[in-house]
Amino acid sequence: MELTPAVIGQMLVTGVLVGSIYGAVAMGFSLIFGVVRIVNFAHAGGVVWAMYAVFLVTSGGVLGPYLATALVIPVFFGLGYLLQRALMVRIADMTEEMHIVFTFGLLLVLTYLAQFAFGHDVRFLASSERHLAFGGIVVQREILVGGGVAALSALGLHVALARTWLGKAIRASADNRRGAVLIGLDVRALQRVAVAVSVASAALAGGLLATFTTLYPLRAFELAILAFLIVVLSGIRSLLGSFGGGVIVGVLEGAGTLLLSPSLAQLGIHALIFAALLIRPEGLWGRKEAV
Amino acid sequence: MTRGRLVALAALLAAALAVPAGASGYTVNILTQICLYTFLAGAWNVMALSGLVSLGHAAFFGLGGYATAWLYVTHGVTPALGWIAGAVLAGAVAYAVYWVAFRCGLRGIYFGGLTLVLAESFRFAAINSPALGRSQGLELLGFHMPSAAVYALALGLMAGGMLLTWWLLRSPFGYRLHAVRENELAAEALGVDTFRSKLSATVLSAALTAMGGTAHALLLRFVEPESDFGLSVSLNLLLGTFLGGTGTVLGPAVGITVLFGLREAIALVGEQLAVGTAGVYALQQVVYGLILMLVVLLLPEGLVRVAGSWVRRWWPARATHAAAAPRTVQPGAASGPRAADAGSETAPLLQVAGLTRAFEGLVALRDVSFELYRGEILGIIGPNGAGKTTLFNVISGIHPPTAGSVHFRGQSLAALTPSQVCRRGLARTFQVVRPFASLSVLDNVIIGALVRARDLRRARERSEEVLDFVGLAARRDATAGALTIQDRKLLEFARALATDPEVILLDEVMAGLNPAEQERVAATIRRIRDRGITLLLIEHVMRAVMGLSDRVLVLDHGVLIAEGKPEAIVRDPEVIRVYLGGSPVPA
Amino acid sequence: MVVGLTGAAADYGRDALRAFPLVVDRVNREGGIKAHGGATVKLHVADHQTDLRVTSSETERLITRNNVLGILGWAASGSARVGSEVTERYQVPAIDTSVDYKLTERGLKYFYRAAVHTRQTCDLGVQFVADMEKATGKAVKRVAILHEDLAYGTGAGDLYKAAIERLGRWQLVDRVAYTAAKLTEATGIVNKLKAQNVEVVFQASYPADGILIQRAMKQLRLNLFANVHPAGAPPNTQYVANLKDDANYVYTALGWTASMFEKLPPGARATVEQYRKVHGVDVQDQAGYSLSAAAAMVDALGRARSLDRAALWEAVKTVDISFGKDPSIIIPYGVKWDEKHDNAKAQAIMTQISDQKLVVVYPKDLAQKNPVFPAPKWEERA
Repeated sequence: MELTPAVIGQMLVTGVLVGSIYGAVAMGFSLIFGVVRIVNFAHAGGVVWAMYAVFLVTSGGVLGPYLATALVIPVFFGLGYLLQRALMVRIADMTEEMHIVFTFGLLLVLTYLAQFAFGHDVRFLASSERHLAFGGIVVQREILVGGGVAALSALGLHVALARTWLGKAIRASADNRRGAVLIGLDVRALQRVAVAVSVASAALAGGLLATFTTLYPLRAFELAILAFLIVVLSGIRSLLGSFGGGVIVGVLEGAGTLLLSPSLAQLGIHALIFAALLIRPEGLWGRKEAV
Repeated sequence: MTRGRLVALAALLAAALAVPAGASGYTVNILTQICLYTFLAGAWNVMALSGLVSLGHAAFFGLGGYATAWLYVTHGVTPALGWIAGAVLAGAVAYAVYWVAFRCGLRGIYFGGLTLVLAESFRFAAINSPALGRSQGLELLGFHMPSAAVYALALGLMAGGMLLTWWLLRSPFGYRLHAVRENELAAEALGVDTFRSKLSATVLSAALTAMGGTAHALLLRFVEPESDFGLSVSLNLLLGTFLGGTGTVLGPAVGITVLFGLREAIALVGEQLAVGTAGVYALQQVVYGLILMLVVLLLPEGLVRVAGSWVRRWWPARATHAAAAPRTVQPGAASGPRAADAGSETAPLLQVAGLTRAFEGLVALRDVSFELYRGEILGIIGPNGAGKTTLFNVISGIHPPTAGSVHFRGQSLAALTPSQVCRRGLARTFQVVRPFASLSVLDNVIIGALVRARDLRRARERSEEVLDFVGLAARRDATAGALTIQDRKLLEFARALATDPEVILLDEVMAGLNPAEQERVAATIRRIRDRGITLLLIEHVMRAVMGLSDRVLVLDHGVLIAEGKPEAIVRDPEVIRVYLGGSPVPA
Repeated sequence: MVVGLTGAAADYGRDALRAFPLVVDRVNREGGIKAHGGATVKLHVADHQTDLRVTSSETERLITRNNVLGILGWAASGSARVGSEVTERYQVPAIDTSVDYKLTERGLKYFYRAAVHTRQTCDLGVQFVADMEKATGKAVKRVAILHEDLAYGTGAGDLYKAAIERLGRWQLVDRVAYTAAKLTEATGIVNKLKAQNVEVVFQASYPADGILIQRAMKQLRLNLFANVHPAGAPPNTQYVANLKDDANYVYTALGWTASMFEKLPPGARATVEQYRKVHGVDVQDQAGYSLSAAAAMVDALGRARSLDRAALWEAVKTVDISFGKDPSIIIPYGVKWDEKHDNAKAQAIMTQISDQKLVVVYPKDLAQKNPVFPAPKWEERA
């Protein structure tokens, strides 16, 4: 095999872009864990439902996938708000294991409800067929847009959390709940907003994924594991970190595919995450928590 | 276990063994699976006892199955040997992996992530390994074992597993695991070698899981990557254990039975309702998911504990015993001679020399030196952030010193873990109390007593004596989490005392108490000293320190600025400036 | 019957669930099994969830609780492995529709397979390309195998590799295994193939990943002489429905495709039409195998000397149904077991997608069109 610059470039560009979208999937997972301390495997169920929603709206023929996504995001924001208000708040004080059982149950419900409603058939959004070609590298427009939007939204969310009053309040309530209560923050309301943002980000990630990949209900399980691993690799409570983790996984997938085989690449990725966890037990960008 | 119970259990086992004679193959098959998964969930539970949540036990499950199948298929080795080989291999892998993981300080979600990645790595290794048949797996062709025998094996494993859990919950090892789960740092400070406890639990758990994996391979006569290393194995164990309730003997059995029963029941209802639409089968999974969610919402304690509390509500008579009557126990006989030693020794018991500790550039302690003599009460005061707690953390081995040394009875404490420090006879309490919240008061103290006691009976006697001494005997059966602040502070005393220390480091035991409570605690401290135990105490409450201490040290910004008798300290102008803000000391 | 109605193999289970009752209902409508006083055939349905443990217990449930005489199943290779161990233990005759070639290489006595299996489809694929090479004079030099990494794809990969090595003419430049469930995007794989200048790809995929790979081949303009599958993704209706014209020129070897309708005997045509009417979809290859399996079982029931498993097994052994005799047999040319218990009469056919339809191009007597070899370059397609 001849590893020409074009071949390597193709791998890197696609790896980074697809990885960005993985990052977008992981972002919301990380946010929920950071703020509400719940390992939310159902997050991926949200992503898959968003994919179906975008798919259905688009198949009406009036709206393109991006407008459809824009339409789905506020709906999911509302659903996320309700999710926290009605369900998550009830399990907040339980152990991590209970969170896993609960959100896994929710993931089962979401996944198989999708299978019941939409069947087991594979769906695929008719793509624009437009490509961007430069120097022998060919990138599908949807992946370029998806990667870009994912990167921008990660940056936007990061800035919003770091700079705005609401973001700071959410971070404060995550870091020190009692302290936040003492200075008069409505922690429960802030948590609802945070979960709503997380579920809305699932909708965004779903919308972006729907534009270029195949859709079937069981994808939810793979995405759940993907998000979990990225977040564990990069360290919780670091939004940009989980975005970076996504990019790392994307590039590793690409490089492993090119140099070994996609299946061996999966072995490599898991082995590398394993090693990374031993070297950085709080994740790549994690902070050591005080004893 | 009483003889009657043993007989009943044996009868039950015999009855269970006789099941294949009368039941259909399907019943035997399902029962085999239930026994097997109960055993596996029990193995998982051994690890969960120490508070570690594994999402990747499939790694060891698959190792067991694959080791057996590979040895049989390629070398014709009997599965009986494969069984042992798998368990040994899994134990060795677990030892290597978790040794590194615990040394690296992996915990919580990251630990879960590591276990998941381990199982997935193994799965992809199997998928890509021609020697293991890739995804075609390995089939134990020509191997014949009657289903009744497989059932008996699974039943035996389950019974053995339950006995093991039963024993664990009553053994010193089990107590230590509990302590680790409840509060690792407090456990370590009470002399529990948390690293070794966790490692033993995980290695044992992994080896047992591999045994289950072998039995599973014998049941299906086939191993392949997805069903042996896949996530669903790990999840089933987690779901089953938590449905039933962790840390109970019956929890895994109940949880797994309910899980399997649910699945069969849903399938049965589905079949009755509408044959012919694949959608119904998707709905079954939806119902399954909903039930998991409902159980978490409604029975978060696990089925066994909930059932247990119902039972206790209906038959309340058995639970209480005559614990309340306080016994008058003389302060331990052993402490008498020690008390006589007080002050008579000239060599310091604890010698801190040039101690410096920096956190990423921030110096919390700078060149601190002092000595503690046998039988005295040494008070340490200082404003917030003066480095008092850091001093305790360095002495007790939680943080290594950046420079300087700590000698206890002439021996350096450098490089010792907190549990080793505790075992040398240097106990401590925490400013923010760290009870093992879900354990009883007595069990909390027993964990401390296990440092010296050789068995649980002696540890219990010692603990009861200590509880009497601090005045908590009446509360011995209460859950530690339910205690008042004052009682929690006394519990910290009791646990520290139970380790039979020569020195106790008390970290702000007065904080948060009202004056009457402070007086009670102060009296306890004096009585502890009267038992011959030397005390080093950090305090914020001036009056108490001055009244209690023989000598007082003053720390400010990590530097020792004064040392002397309390009367001298309160007049020291430097102390008044930094600590008392210029105003005279309240008497 | 025990098939996967949930889990990864639910597609195939669903086809089986559509096909088996069709045969059984017809027999019962026509007066049941005449040799046994018009006994009606009862079909018990079980879902193995594509889970091996469930497969084991559900198969055993049908045998010991519902006391079934024979098993139709499992429509998933892994499940068939475990399930056939159970039927073997109980000496229950089982007719399977899974395609993994390994299933019948284990010397089982009670296990039969009605489906056209991967050894047939893979060997045909290699043979076909070799024939086309001769017929067109277009020399093939560099070939690659691309397969998903579960049992189906891995088995196909092994078979392709063996067949290519037997042929000994081509250079096998790469064998790429990928994880279907983890594939979100396939340009990485295609980029790798393109960098090695492959001319023919032998590919075993599931629909979701097969679509992505085909899409990426177009995007990166990977121009192949031929892209050959052993059944797998292309026969799935979603493949063509989603790829539209981009699916054209793909080859797939299988036992049945809907465009063979024209060549069917009248009775079989009626079955296909009825299937279409009841379920609103065309008969897929898996459904076709299921029809054959059910027909073989019913045939054996009719010839069994008594209604017990031993007698049924004796009858199953000697099943010999010719194409055209039994309306349920739509797979040419009938059912008869060879020494491995594979269906000796079922033959793999080669189809090529043309105008979004699977069209038979080999063998000659069933062929509807001439194959297009090599496939036109992507740039030249309309």
